[in-house]
This record gives sequence, structure tokens and C-alpha cells, in this order.
Amino acid sequence: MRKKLGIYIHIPFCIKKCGYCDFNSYEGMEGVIDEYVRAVKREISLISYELSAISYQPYKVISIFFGGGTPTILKSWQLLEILESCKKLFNLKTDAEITIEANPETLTLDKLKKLRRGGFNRISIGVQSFNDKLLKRLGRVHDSKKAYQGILSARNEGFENISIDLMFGIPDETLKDWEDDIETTIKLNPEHISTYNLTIEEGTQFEKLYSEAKASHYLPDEDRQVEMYERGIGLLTGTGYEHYEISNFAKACSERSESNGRKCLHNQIYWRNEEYLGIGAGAHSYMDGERRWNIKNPEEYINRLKIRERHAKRKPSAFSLQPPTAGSERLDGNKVMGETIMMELRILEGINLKSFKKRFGVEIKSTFSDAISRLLSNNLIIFENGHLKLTHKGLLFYNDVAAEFLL
Amino acid sequence: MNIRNFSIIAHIDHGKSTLADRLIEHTGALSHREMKEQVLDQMDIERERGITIKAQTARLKYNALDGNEYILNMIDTPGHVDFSYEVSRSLAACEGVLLVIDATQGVEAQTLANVHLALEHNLEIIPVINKIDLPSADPEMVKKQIEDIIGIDSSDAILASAKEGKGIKNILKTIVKRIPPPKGSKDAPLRALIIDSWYDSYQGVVMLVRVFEGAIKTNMKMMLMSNGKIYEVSRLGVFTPKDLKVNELSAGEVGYVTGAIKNIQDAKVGDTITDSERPAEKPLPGYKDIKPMVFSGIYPVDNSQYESLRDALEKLQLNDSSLKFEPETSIALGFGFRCGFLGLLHMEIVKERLEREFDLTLITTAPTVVYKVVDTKGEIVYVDNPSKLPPRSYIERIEEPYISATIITPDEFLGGILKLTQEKRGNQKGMEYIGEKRIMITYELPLNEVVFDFYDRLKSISKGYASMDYEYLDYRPSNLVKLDILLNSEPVDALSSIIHGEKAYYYGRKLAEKLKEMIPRQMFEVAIQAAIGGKVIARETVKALRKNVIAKCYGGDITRKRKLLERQKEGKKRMKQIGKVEIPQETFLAVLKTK
Repeated sequence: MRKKLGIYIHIPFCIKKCGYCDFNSYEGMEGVIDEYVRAVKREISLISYELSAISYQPYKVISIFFGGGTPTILKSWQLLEILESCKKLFNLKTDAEITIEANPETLTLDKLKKLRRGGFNRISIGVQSFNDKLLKRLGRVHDSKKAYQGILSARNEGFENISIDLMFGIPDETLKDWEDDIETTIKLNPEHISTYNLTIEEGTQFEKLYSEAKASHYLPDEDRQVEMYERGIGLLTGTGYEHYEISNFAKACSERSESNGRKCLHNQIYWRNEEYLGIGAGAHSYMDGERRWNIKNPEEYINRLKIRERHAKRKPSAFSLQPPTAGSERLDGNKVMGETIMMELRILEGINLKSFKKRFGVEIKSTFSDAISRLLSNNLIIFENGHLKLTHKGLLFYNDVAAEFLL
Repeated sequence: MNIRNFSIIAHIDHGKSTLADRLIEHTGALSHREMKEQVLDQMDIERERGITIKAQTARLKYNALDGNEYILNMIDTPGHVDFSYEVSRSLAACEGVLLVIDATQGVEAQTLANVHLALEHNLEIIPVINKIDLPSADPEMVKKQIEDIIGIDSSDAILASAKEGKGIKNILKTIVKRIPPPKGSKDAPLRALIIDSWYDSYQGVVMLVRVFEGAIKTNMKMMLMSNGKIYEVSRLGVFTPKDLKVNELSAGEVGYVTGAIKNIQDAKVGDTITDSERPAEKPLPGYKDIKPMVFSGIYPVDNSQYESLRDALEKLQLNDSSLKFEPETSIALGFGFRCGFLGLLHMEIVKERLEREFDLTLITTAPTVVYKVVDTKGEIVYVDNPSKLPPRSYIERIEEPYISATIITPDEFLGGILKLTQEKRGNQKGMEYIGEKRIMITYELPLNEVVFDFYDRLKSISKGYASMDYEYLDYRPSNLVKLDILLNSEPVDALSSIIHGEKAYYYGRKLAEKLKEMIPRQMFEVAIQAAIGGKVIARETVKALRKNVIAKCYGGDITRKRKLLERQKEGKKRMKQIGKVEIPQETFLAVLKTK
């Protein structure tokens, strides 16, 4: 049987970098986009060549995910060219999930139409909030009107699987603001919703702004943040969304036969610690027990792939060269086990005890008996239906729970 | 044989070790190639901190201009007040000293203390003004200080730069001219003073000695006069500073003796060695059984290191008879040892050696002095650990040790220092200008106030310019109470302290505040209480942590987030668990840092 594989394509450009964002994304680099697209296509062919060299592509690609940055900053034909390369060079499952991340300010009817027709069947829109005051606080480029338009247009152009990203814990946000955002979202009836607690990340502009005592009070305090998180869960699960990952909700979908419903297939690959290929600047791959990551800077990434092209012209076998890798880490069995638990605990269904035994050859209960009894006695985890899963308290203290299984 | 026995005394960093190096080099005792810098300081820590912990000697051959050959025995001394007994024994072995003073710094507190010791032993003092090569050197100022403060003639003080080799010839010439030769009859019954002793795994205890009368010979049955124990002399020798075996050491000479002695406690510094078949009537004067003044609990962070800690302490004790330790159990910290030290520096050195040389991770509790507790029955108990203090109702009174401290400082820092000594319950005994801008203050202070953070604060107030020395005075009755800390109602024995009654409320509040800063939030609320005899005087609350959750975790984050969680876990591992509360190790030092 062919192994499942997900493909991630990173587009590291934004109209404007948001103050809270610590992703690999850049504003003001539009000038290199054309070259970047060429470089990405080259990397796709390099990787597919590399995979074929091992055997006749033993993988079946079940999802492609264009993430960013803002992928929709590219022209639709550029996005479709990249998608075509993937389709041509990888073994793509016919009903593969093909997602594009988008920000409202870059969505036009025409672009949405072309993307949908070109094969994208899922769109994840970075709305964050429908409250213009809060959008300003976040430093977003779009306003609430743009957000509505984007969502409605996507629906009109035939996207049947729409995801909306929301954020809570925004400076000055009240519980009422958050409830309004959720209710507005529910009315728009998206198939999938992510609710992220704003996190002040190291090295971001927000860190400078809000870590100092004088401004930290603008952030809702911890009690309020927990209240928002819990209110979000309550409202969404009350209207038919399944809370399936710490920050993610999906509709159970009756017209689909699988139990998966509208849960994001691609992200579940990460959460189950399965294999994926990352293409583009700074993208990470995980295959055959090895994690690999590409050069982060888009210009350096482009350069690396240019050099390759010159070699390739002279000597076709140069395609056997390594992709634009910046570093890699080979994981031993224990690390893989630790990471798998760390990731799978994020899924509310929990860790399937039988699958775990099958995958690692040991019982999770006996391997981590001390940690498990500690966590059980602190009411952070439970065993239910053959799964080990977080309790509600465990959701809030996920880091402490996951850490118990590491090292 | 023409012998001169001398020591070099100096304040830290005034260049004692460099001068010793130059003397060794100049007399050709070691070739240039063999010269390791500061050969006499052997231990790593000594070299790093620039101080000498153990005494060392070097026997130098000097061909004087008068055509005679002289044997110069240079006896190095420890340079810190904690080791003043050892210093006094080294000085007792000499007839004269080189008093080294930094030409840019002038007389410091330690210089004074050492000079007083030298004067007590009636030694010839040769002032050497060092570092005259430095642009800021002011030899005239130093000469004046020597006359004004020390009260000795400085007209013939030698100007030198040990670093550049200046004045070395003159120093050697003056040693021969001014320091008297040893007296003592070679035919009298043997009396040799133990200057220092250490353990060698091949030879057993090695004793560094100065023979005052008679002679010690190989195979002699020697007796240690303080305990009457008899050993056969197996090896005699001198350090040139290379080890050189000899068959006899006679009156006036300095060298080492071994005799298959297993326990260093049998060969204590200051004791007298005599011939068991023809014993001396009286030992040499000055022997004392020294007692530790400062105590602290030392615990392994990881309880499985308890045995290794015991082994390490035993090994250190082989070379350090003043280090005392006994097993102790703390509810908070588990199994460890209560250790006694000569002073704060001694404590720091021991702790550092334990961690560095034996690779142990340790928690040390705040240092405490030994309190003299008189109970209601009139019996006296000495208490070196706050948790051992009897209940209040059984205590008639508590007495604490006092010291007399001498502080020398540039006058611009006087205000800050007076404030500090006041805060530390000091009684001013004297204050005088020495030179134009420097002041010497003498104070009587409770030792308990000094062991906390006195020295660090003195240094920071004076930007490092003030120097201090002290000596022990006596025990004095004082209003002292025990302050306990409770976490979620559980007392943490390792955080208890004995403190002056008037300061207890203020200090208790401050300590609770400090602990609040140091104890990380946990999944539940943590109540911190400070209490005196069951009465809570301060309360702080560490609010419960509500969440600790990574909101986003996708393909590109896995390695990074795993490492983040691993770091969080590592941090937790280094914490100590008190009941359910996890507290960082540094918390135990909070007691020290609270002002």
C-alpha cells in the first residue's frame, strides 16, 4: 500500500507584516515573486525526481496546502502553475484536499473563480475578527466589510469547504466582542473555524509593545482569555461544530460518508505526526524519520535554486542534488514517540491506544506509567473509548501534559 | 647554614604571588621554562580568584654580594580573614615579613590586619611598594600612609614592580640584611611547628613544618604534642619549590615531614612535633583548635547524589581540617549535610570546589552563625541551624557572636557605608582620616548581619574601593526570633531564619514579597506566609496559572515547539517540590537576597 503524504507550499509574502506574526513572511518583497514562483516549481521537480529515484513514488498525496504569508498575493495563474506542477509530478489522490490560505484584502471574484476552477477545493480565510476596532489593533490591512465580501464571494464561486480563522485575546477585546465575532461567523456558516488565542511571540513587534508593564494591561488578562476560549467552545459546539483540536472546529458533514466531516485533512497529518513535504522558503518536511527545513530567506532560497538550474543545464544528473535545505534532524525512536504523543494530544479524540501499540511496539501506559499516573491524579488526562485524551483542564494545560512525555 | 625565614603579606591583588614568582625566578630556583605563573598557588580556584588558600613554601638559594650563600625560606600565607589562624601560624614560623602594598591603592584593611599579626609575633617588617610601573602609582602617598596608619618607618621602603622585575635584587639584599637569622639550639629536644598539612594519596598526611629547636630525622619516632600520637618519620624534604628529599631538618629550617598519617585531624595546623624518645617539655605557643563560625546546609538537587556528596566532602576534608560536616535532613530538601566553615569565603570556596571538582549540583541554604541559647533551666545549647532552635517558651535568652570590623574607604562613600552599618546593627567604635581622602572606620557588628550580604553591599556601595577585615569578639545577648516561611500552610524548614526581633516584621514582609516573585505560578494558588512563633506576620499569594497551552502547532512548528516544551520541562526538573508546590532552587537563596 502506498503511504499517505501531504504537500505544503509556502508563499512568504504579505502586503503588510502584522505586528503579532512570527511566521516566515515578508512585506515589500513583491519584486521577487515571479522568480520565487519559478524557484518553487524547480524545487517541486527536484523533490519529485529525488522521490522517484528512491522508488516509483511510493506515496499517495492526500492533500496540498498553500500557506503563508498570503498565498493569494500571487496572481491566480502563478498559483495554478505551482498546483499544476504538483499534479503532474506527484501521485495525487483524486479527491485530495487542496487548500489555499487567503487574506480578505487579496480576494477578488475573478481570482476566486480561477482558483476554484483550477482545482483548489478548500479556502482558509484569515479574518481574525469582524470588529474594525480590533482589526486595527491587530494591524490588519482589511476591514470587516472586506472580510464578509471575501467569504461570500468564495461561496459564490463554488467553494464548498471554507475555513475562517478567528483570534481572541486581542488588545482591548471584551468578552462581548468575542461573542459577537463567533456569532457573526456562525451566521456565515463556514465548514471549519479556527480560534487562536493571540500569543505574544518572541521577536515580534507585539512583544516590544505589550511585554512592557505600561502596555500589558491592554491585553485581556489570563482569566478573561480562558473565559473567551471556553465561551468560544460553548457557542461553536452548541451550533453543530465539533471541537476536534485545541484551536479547531469543524462541521460534521452528513453528505460525506467518512467520519472525518470537514476536519482539515492536511493539518491532521501534522497532528498525527505523519509524513509531509514542505516546499518553498523555510518550509519543513518530515519523511522517513527525518525533519528537514529549507532556507528561510526567500531571496537566498531563490538563489540556491538558480545555481542548481545552471548545473542542471550542463549536466542533467545534477537533479539528484539535495533540495535547498538549511538543516535537518534525524529523530530516534524515543523522540518520534514523544513528538507523536505531543502532537496527537492536540486532537481531542486523543491517542488511539491500539494504533500507538501498533506504531511503536510498546504500550503507552507502561512506557509512561509515572507520567500518566501523575497526570491522571491531577485530572489532566483520561482514558476513554480506547483513547488517551486531554480533559477540559488538560486542554488549558496542554504544555504541561505534553512535556511529561518528552525527553 | 645562613637561614632567613620570611613571609609575604599583602592585601588581595596587591601582587603578592607575582612577587613570589620573581623571587623564585631570580634566585634560579626554577628555570624560566619551569616557571608557571604564580607557582605557589596551585589550586585552580586560587589562581582564578587570585588568592592563596593553603600555605606553601619555597626554599631559595641566594648568593649574596657579601660572598656568602644564604637559604631563604619563603612561606606563603593565605590572604583572607577566614584563614587568619593559618596566617598567624605561618607568621609564627618566620622572623620577618615583606609587607607588600600596591602603589596605586595604598594601605587596605587587610594590610592592617596582617601587619598587626606580624607585630604581635615581633617580626621584622620590610615595606615593599609594588606596581610602581603603573601610571597612577603614588609611592610618596603610600610611604606617608605607612608611617601614619601603620606607624612604622617607611624611609627605606623598597620601590618595586614585581611584574617588570624592578626592585627584586634590592628586596633579596634587604631580606638578608634586616631579617634576623633563626635562633634555637640544634641540640635541644625537638620542637617543630606545623604550618600546614594536607593529604597525599601516596604518602598520607604531609606536614609543612618549621623546626625551632633540635632536629627531625628520618625514622625518628615523632610525637604530635596536642594528642600524644606517635608516628615514624618516613620522609623529609624541602620544596625548592620542586620537591627535594633530605635526611634531616634542624633548628631554623623549613620543610615537610611525612609519617604514614592517615587522618589529617591528627596533624593540625599549629601543633608541635617532638621526639617521642626525648620529648620537649612544652609545645610551642599559639596552638588552637579552631571552630567553624559560619554554617550552612548543603543539599544535592538530585537526592541520588547524596552519597557522592558525602564522598566529596570527605575528600575535601582530607586537605581541610577546618571543614566540618554532619548529616542533616530537611523536610524541604531531603538528605544533605550541615557544614561548618571558617567564614564566608571558606564557604564559597568549598561549595565551588564541590560543584566544580566533583560535578555536583547543590542547593545551599542561607548561612547562619552559631547562636548560644540559654534555656529556662539555665543550660546552654549552641544552635547552628534555625530549625533546631528550641520553642520560644523554653528560651531564657539568645546570644549572638559579635565581630570587630575595620573598614577603609575613600571618604566619598562614607555616607553609604555608615547607613549600611547602621542597618546592620553596628556600633561605631572609631573613625579617622588616613591620608587625605581615606577614612578608617571601626565597628562592632553582629556576625549574623555580616554573613548575609554585608560584604557584597559594601563593595557595591563603594564601587569596590572599600576594604574590610574583622576579628571575633564575643557573644552578646540579643533580641532574636525565628522567622518561618509556610507554603500552602506547610513550613519550609530550609527557609527559616533567626533574625533580630525589631527587623522581623519588615524582613518577613520583604521575604514573602521576594518569594512571590520567585515562585512561578502553578495550576493552583500558592499562599506564602511568614510567621514568628505561629503568628503570621505577612501573607502573599501566587495566583493560580489558568492556562499553559500552545495555541498553534503545525508542520513547521513541531521541532521548535518540542524544544520549547523540553526547556519548560528541564526548568521544572531543577525545581524542588515542597508538598505539591514546585519552587526553583534560587528560592532558597532568597533569604540571602532580601534586604
